[in-house]
Amino acid sequence: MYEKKVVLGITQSTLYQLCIPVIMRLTVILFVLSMHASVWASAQKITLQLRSVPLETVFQELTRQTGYYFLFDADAVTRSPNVDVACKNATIQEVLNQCMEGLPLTYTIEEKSVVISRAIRSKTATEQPQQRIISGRITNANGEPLEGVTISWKQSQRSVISDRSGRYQISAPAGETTLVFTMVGYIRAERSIGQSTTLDVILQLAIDDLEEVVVVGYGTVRKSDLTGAVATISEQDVKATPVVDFGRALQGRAPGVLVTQNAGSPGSPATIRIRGTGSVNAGNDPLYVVDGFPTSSINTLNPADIESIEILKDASSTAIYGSRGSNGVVIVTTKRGKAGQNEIAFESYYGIQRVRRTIPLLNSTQYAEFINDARVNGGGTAYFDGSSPERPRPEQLATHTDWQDQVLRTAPLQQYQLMLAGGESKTRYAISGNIYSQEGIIERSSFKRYTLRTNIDRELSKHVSVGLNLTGSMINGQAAHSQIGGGSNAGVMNAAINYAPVFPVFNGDGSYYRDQGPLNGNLVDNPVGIAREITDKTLGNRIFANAFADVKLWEGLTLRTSLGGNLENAKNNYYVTRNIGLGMGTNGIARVSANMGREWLNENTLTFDRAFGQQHHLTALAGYTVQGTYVEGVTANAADFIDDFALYHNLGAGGTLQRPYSDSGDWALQSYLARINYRFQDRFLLTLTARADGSSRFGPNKKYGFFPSGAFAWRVINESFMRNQQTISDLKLRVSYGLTGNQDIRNFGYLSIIGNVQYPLGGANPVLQTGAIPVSLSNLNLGWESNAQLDAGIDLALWSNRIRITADYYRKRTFNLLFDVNVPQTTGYSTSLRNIGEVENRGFELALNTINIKRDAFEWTTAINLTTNRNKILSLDGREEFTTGAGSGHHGVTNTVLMKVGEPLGNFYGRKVVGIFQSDAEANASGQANAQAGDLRYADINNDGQINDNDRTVIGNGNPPLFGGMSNEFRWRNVDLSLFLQGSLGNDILNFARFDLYNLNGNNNQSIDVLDRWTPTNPSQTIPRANSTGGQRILSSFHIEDGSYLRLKSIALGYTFKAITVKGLGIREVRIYAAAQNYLTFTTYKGFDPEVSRFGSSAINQGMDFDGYPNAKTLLFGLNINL
Amino acid sequence: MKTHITYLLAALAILQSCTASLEVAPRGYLTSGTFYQNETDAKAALIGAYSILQDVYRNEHILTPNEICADNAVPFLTGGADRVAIWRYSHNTSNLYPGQIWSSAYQGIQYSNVLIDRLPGVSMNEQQKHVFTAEAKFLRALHYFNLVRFFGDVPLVKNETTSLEDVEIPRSPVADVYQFIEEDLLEAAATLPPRHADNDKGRATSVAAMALLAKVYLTRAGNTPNSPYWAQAASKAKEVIDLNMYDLWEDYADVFALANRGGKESIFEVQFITDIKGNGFTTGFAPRGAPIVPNNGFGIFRVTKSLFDSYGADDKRKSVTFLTSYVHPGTGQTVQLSVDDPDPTVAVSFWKLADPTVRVGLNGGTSWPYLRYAELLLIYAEALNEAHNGPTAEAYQALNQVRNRAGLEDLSNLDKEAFNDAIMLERRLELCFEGHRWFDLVRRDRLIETVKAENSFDRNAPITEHHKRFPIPFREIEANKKLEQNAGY
Repeated sequence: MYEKKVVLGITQSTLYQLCIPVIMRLTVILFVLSMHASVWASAQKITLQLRSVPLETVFQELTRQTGYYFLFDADAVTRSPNVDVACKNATIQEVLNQCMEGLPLTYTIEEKSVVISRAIRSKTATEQPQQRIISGRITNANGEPLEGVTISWKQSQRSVISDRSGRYQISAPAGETTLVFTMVGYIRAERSIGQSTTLDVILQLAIDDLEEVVVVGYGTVRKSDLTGAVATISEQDVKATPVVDFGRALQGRAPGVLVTQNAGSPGSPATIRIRGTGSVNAGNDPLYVVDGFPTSSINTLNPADIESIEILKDASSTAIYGSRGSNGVVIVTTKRGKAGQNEIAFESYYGIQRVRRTIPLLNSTQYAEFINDARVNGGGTAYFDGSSPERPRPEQLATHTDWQDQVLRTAPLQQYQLMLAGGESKTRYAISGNIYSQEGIIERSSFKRYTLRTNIDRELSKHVSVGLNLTGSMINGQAAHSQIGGGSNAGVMNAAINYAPVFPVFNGDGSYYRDQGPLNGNLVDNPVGIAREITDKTLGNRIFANAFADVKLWEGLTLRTSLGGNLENAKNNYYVTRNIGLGMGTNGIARVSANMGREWLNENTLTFDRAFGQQHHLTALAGYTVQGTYVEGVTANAADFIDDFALYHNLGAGGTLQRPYSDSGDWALQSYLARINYRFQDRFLLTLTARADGSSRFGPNKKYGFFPSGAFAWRVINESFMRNQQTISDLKLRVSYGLTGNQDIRNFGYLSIIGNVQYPLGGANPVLQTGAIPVSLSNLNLGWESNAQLDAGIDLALWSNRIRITADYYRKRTFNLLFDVNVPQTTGYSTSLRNIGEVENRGFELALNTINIKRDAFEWTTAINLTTNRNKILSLDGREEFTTGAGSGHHGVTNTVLMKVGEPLGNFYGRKVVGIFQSDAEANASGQANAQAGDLRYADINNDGQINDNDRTVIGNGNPPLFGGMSNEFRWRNVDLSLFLQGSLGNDILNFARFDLYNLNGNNNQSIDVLDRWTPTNPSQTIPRANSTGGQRILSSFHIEDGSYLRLKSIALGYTFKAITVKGLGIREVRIYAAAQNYLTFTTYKGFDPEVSRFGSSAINQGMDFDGYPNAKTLLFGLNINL
Repeated sequence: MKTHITYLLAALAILQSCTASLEVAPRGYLTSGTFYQNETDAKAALIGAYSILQDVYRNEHILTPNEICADNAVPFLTGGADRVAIWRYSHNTSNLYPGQIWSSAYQGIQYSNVLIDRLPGVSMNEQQKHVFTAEAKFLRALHYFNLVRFFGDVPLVKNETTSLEDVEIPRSPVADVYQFIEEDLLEAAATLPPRHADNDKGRATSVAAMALLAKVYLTRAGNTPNSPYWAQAASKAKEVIDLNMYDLWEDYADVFALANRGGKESIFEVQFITDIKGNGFTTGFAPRGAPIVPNNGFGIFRVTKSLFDSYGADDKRKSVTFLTSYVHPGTGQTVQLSVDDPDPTVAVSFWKLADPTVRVGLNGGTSWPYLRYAELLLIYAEALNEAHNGPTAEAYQALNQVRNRAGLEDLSNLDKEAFNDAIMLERRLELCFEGHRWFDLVRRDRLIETVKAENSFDRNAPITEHHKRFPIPFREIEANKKLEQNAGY
């Protein structure tokens, strides 16, 4: 008999519970199932006269007269027939007896509460042993009541939740001896009930979060049961520094995760790399899974909605996402309602942003002197020679324009969020509305986001629960024209550092001063005009919804099915007025583009979760998922408008309509997944995972890929030999190995696409004819890029978890790289997408969390994480090395990066500067053609006596070998202080701005450093001479700078007022804080900011800076109110 | 139990309801596997093959090296470094200019090859098939002719590339390349109609093939006194002249007028449409920053004093060819331009290909005169002079016909050498800015002396013998192990 119960997992009592759904919706938080009436007679007399009313009305009347309150099973009560009551000076028991006569209900009175419950009519009722009621109060260490604690029996599923005063009542089924008390943030407690009927419990705050549940793909596990490398970022970390962008919330918080803020523009995304860059031409961005929905776009996610972020790093954790797991997986869980009281939270902040740093440039006089110097050295005559009003002598200059100052401003940002959350045991909800508004520090740029999120969970029955996550968001952005250099299309900051300080902002008539003469060699336009006259608005709408149902098919066996959709629309509106060069020649340019995307997902998983005896625990998961995406886009252009009035609103008014464009694309993914988690005696943990994915993006022969992994962990702490020591409080060793894939390439990359082109025929009256050309070679064998990763890790905690250390070593080998291979152009093509090449990333990750001081009044905790990553190219497309890499158009610099077997990705390739020629004789002897004294001297790398492109060498690397973050949190009574430092070491930046600011040819303004340029009397070894006939743009170490930095990312000081009552309105908590972000940065980098990446998430072109949107420093003031 | 079975069935139903097909086909594009079925497809592929000409000739691919690497123009000195490098003869193997000449030529060759190889399988009129094939061959010859003149030996790709197997092709000797060009052009000359309907103007004709053949022979003759190619060049040119299909416009300016595109002087041209699918000649070559063109002038290069001064005072071409002053639209003042002032905003500029009607930046509609009757006359004159060891009457007649239109007097009584000098000068004056000068100097072995003599703006180019060929693009050397670099690079 006993054996049978264990195998089936169904005891007599649980079977009984399954068949009679006794747990019904309660309208009040307390839930009691009892036939035991401990009657406490009340002396109060009641007079009542009611005819044919619902029972509830009777209860309401009784509450009014007596102050007793009623707890009842709503289903049972509302289904009862109406009743008649007639009594005078009766006791409450008499009234209740009268009105409930004949009804299948019973009642219990305790103190001032009446609990109405169902009388069990079954024949077995009399056979049931009398059940005890256990009651008690739950408090924290300070004696404050804890609301919302789940109290459950260890074996059965019966559970209740504590009320606001921390009280609970639960009936004891036969055979149950142990109660379990759980609450997020507290250590789980188990208590034996013994013979007592009262049990008060003090729950300890979880310093220890090992009991915490960690979200992994398609499920959760206890942190102590993790076998893989998973980093968790809590809500508190996300909130520590208010950020608009999700990516920035990750920055410096987790080992192995490198976050680079590409630019400072409002709403711009960050680049996130988990364990290095493995792919060359396919994506390197992690997969984001928001509440179970895998998606690539998280830009509309509101960080304030985040409950937790889990970062899956090793193959064992990510393999469940198979073909999309190779760059790591970021799982985002948004806030859900908790059973308990309604919670209302208002959060807000207001901040002021200013540019963190402007680049020191020459002022007018210094500039004019420099120009004269350059002209004379170039064989000409001084320009500022007093010969005409436009050419005064340097000391006579009246105009001094600081162009950076002209286009930058102090700008506000603010956020307001209101969240309502709560529920009872069967229905829980969370609703939040958020408004974020940021003005950019470049004039006119801005970003606004509105989000509305609803999460609802509902238990329909004992077996079925359903839920919905729904987010709607809108963004409105006005982008600054940035990161483009040279010519009339130059970006604001490029123009601002180029445009001469001797130019005024406006002409006398109020129009922009435009000078396209010799002082403006890069032909940039008036920076203020660029900032003001270009409208570049993005309007985005997104609805992101995911509904799911959990069905308990059998004890321990759950089916989850979900259906989700992600609908996105974005519209971009662009107009350039005729007031600046870009729109002048064409009398305005307008462009309107609209894109829409539809993404749908269906996931079905079966989870089996069972303990077998005391020794074995098994969780098994099997699933099937399908996902598809459809996108469309259309763009229309027009030019030649009569005036600028209508902006982009009336394309038809343009005299010149240009060719419209439209396109579409879709892809689909179909997957089968499985996972087994096995635990033996809480000592050994084994995880086996596999996923088979089919993707439409690959050739007909290679659509399916299979991605298995395995992990093993040993919880050494639970070994007997660890019992008699006090030092180590947790110790776990982990190892995992597995395969993941990457399918993040363009659609239809395997097909030879026919592109359309036009050519006019017809002589004097030409008419465009449409032609067809093959634009790519087909590769029917195009398949998955794969990734094999080994991870070995240790989790160690010392002195009752005062110190916790997690360290991991990983080696990740990416092979069958999806590689746009350079093919001989004699084929008619330049590149072809193939699976070729291997890249390796190796590294150590360390996370150290310490509780330095923990007293009642004062607490100090520190969290440090450090990552080293070494990247190496193991093989390429048969070549040993080649050059590639983005350049900058107006400088004519290309092929900036060397890809070489044995070397890391991201190596900058150019000449090496070894000083400056101090004499013409030295220059002539050098083999460097046309060089003179004062010119840069390049190293003769190949020692052939000539200086040319064969003397290029590796001159830097854009990826940091070491990066990390450190946060310190202090709490003293109600005051909290947090300091957050973050930085990188050893990376270089290719600063394209140096091609302008240090070109010394008099084309544009220069860095202030140019004051120290070489002259016969100032034998500089760092800054060459001024020379108007210079301007050969040769990439060299002169343009590379050390990108290392250490930054006090945020310092925040807060004060919390607790439990205030204002006019009867109970406020639980009010927190006010002030935070300063980016106020302190240690770096030698001379650009706007060392945190920069011109080419965003490109694998090859990391660490490049091209006059991007400067970073801001921000001062914030916040107010949070919790009701 | 019944409930559980219901749930299970419902779950299975859900599982079955969602399946995704992984066979997703592009909606916006055709693929090469299914294209090339009928005449419409073939015509589209033909237009595709022509379209690459705009890439080659609207930009600087052929134009800039011919003008600035010779003695006609000086690049904007603080502009694109690669442009300055080829002017100074300090370019390396990664230079943009040889790179783009190479890649666009082979792109065009692939488009032609696709057409030539696929046409046999297309269901359409057989006669039309032959015409389309011959046009593709004409275009293929045009690209190889550019390649062989810039690089010397080049890989000969004769068929469509359909996979990445066997794509590393070594360089073929110049003679083989020329032989291939000759075969293609002979077939084009034999197959194509002498003219197309008005709405098809711009397509290659048999006459264009013959004229190009004349030029190919002229080039093959090089500077060799007794080369048999002189006579062949003269004979092909004469064939074209004798057709009496072409003539010179009265006025030099008419050659480049929008209304005369596809007109009587044009043997083959690359066509553009103003504001829609145009070229950058107007904005690109207007004085730097001059507010008289859309986007203001770029001043990509300026005119050398030596070219400017080579025109006689009576030469009517001078005012058509150059912009020497303009009226500032803002101030109303006349801005005088100069060939001496280093300020690029006041530099004399090339102007003969400017489109006065252009409104949208870099979209002028003037045709690129790939081969016009005036050049054919000069080819004829030059070839005759060499073939007959001195100028014949017909040679004088051809040369003087060109000179007379420019308002210049007849030349006479010149010896072979002097006549050749006169032809070289006439080619420079008549055809400057049409992408011939560097080719001509290399062809007649005058490059080094000419470049050394052209020293304005401190050029001092260290030109040597190897500079008569451009380097094979570095990326090609990397991508194709069978390629060898030209000596000297």
